[in-house]
Amino acid sequence: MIKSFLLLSIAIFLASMGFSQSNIVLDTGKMILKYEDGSIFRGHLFRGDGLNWPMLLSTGDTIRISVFKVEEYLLDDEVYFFRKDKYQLKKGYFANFSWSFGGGYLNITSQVDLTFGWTHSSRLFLGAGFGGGYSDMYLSSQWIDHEYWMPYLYGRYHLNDNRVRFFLEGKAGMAFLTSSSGTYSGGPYLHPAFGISFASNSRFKWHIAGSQFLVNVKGSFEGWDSMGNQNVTYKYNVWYNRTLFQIGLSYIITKSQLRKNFF
Amino acid sequence: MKLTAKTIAASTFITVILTACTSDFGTATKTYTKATAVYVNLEELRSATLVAHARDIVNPGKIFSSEKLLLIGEEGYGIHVIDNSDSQNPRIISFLEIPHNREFYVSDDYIYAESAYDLLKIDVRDPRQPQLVIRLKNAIAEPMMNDKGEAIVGFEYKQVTEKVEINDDSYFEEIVYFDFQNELIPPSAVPASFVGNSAGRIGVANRIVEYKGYVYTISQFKLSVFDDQDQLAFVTSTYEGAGDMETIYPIDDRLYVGASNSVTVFDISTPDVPVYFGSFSHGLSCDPVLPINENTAYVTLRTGDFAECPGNENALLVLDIDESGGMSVVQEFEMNSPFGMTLIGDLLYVGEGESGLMVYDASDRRSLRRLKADDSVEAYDVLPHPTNPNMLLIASPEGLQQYRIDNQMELLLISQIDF
Repeated sequence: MIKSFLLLSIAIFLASMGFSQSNIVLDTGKMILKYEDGSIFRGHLFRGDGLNWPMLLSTGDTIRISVFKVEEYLLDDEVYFFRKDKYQLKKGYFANFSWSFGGGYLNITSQVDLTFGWTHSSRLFLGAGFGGGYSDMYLSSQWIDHEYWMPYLYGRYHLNDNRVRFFLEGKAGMAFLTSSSGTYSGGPYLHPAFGISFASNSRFKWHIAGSQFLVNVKGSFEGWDSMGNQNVTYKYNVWYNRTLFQIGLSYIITKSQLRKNFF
Repeated sequence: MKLTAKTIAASTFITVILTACTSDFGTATKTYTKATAVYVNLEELRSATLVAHARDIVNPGKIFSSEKLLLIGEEGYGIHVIDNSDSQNPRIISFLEIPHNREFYVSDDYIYAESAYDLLKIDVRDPRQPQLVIRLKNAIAEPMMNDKGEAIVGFEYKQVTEKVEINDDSYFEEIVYFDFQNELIPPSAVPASFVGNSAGRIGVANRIVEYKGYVYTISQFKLSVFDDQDQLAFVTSTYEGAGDMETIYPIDDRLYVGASNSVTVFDISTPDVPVYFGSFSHGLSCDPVLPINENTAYVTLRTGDFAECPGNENALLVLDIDESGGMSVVQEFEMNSPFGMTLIGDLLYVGEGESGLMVYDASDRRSLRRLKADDSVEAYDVLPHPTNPNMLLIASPEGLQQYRIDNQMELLLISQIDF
């Protein structure tokens, strides 16, 4: 049953690459194949007759690949290959989880974001997501804290295609406050970042970044002040503007993998 | 670009350094009642001439009544002397200049009055020629002076809106905040109230009283004792027993102190050494106390939408006081806004401000019965006329009124001094 499914998958894969049911031998390009038993093969795969296809290795040798035994594969036009089977996404989909935090001794910000998106081009990734977090600020002996969640649109542009990819990233959305003191409301949310993404040999990729976190919050509350005055009414319309350290983990999947795994 | 340990270390270092950067921007304001200290030259204050020409009553405070004399305090300035020989036509005859005076008490034709830091004793046996007997300098508190040698005597309050710096750590600086009104005698929570009358009746909203040759004063947290058997002299002060004190009432060798959250009783059988006897705690409220005898006292609790006593509890309580000083409520009446009260015969009158005057049958002192609610008059405080048992004095928002009480307890207005 499983083998039948694999066969079907390979067939779909071939069809998606534009092959016709002809005897024309076509190069799939550089790729990495992984067998069910864990064996990994790297080289150029050529479509052959039947279910045993030739693969040209970098040594110049040719081996035969049994398509029945292929469990996983990566294609040259969907990922960037690096040493030790590490790769970066070129074409496909991703889900990013990131945690940003920072602030001073008077105030802190902690923010988690979950983003889903696709590769618009090999360098430009687009998507959307939602985040949630906590920030506080200090006003004349009073700490006022805000909890919020925010939907946003997402974009990331990679500056290079190396094993360590530098990127510029941006999130833009609207923050909705869920908790604070007195009356409160949220506003625009902007979160640009500059970071680096590390290649790996799995679908999970780590990244770190320095980001600038901006959220507009408005409200008023009753409190006291540093002079001992009671019944003080505070009003504020403030942008949290904080440089944060961000650490994140991305799950990537190429279009081929998506088709193979889910269709 | 190759990933090296140096690259990672440098990137990490930069991002960690950047995380210390917070530059929130926008606007933040705070709106509050700002207190600005008021300073005076004490020597100038003390050199003021005592007796001045009669003037209009603008902001009345304490009121004392005798058969032929009325004394009405002008908050912060002194005392109006009023000839009440003709109760239908009272007449202001002079004004006693007592700067920064709010509280005074009258006993045996002597006025005991505070003037900022000082306690004054004034002889009014001849109302037309009052004489300063003694000024006890710094009797209420030691003066706090500024660089110019002026003493702080209070604060002016004004609502202001100020910009607040966001995330400014200078707010962490230690600020010594001293509420000076804890030392000096603060304004009364009752706008206009009776000191007492010449027949020995005492009002329930006093901060100065005289008892058996001793004068007692309360500021917010301090009870002070002065010996006046020979010459007025300071004896002692105590902070024990009560906080946020508002009223004081002596009877039967006990001193009843009404505070914003309690009633505290001191034993003054040794008059110069008040000894804590017992207390009764209640919710935050303004609460004049009227002790009736050694085991019964009436307390009014007043709260509302005002700074002194915020809340929503308004009641008249009958308290039982046991031999060990323990107190408990034996009866409670819900009220609208009770201020001062007085007992005339078997009738208890309670002023309810703009809500009128309540009358209770107190023939059984521990089991009151509501008789009448008269909303035709507004009453902050009530006191019997010193000589005419059928006359009632009422301090109202409009002024001081003298009423005759008929057999049906109806009030007939005789005269009014407008405020």
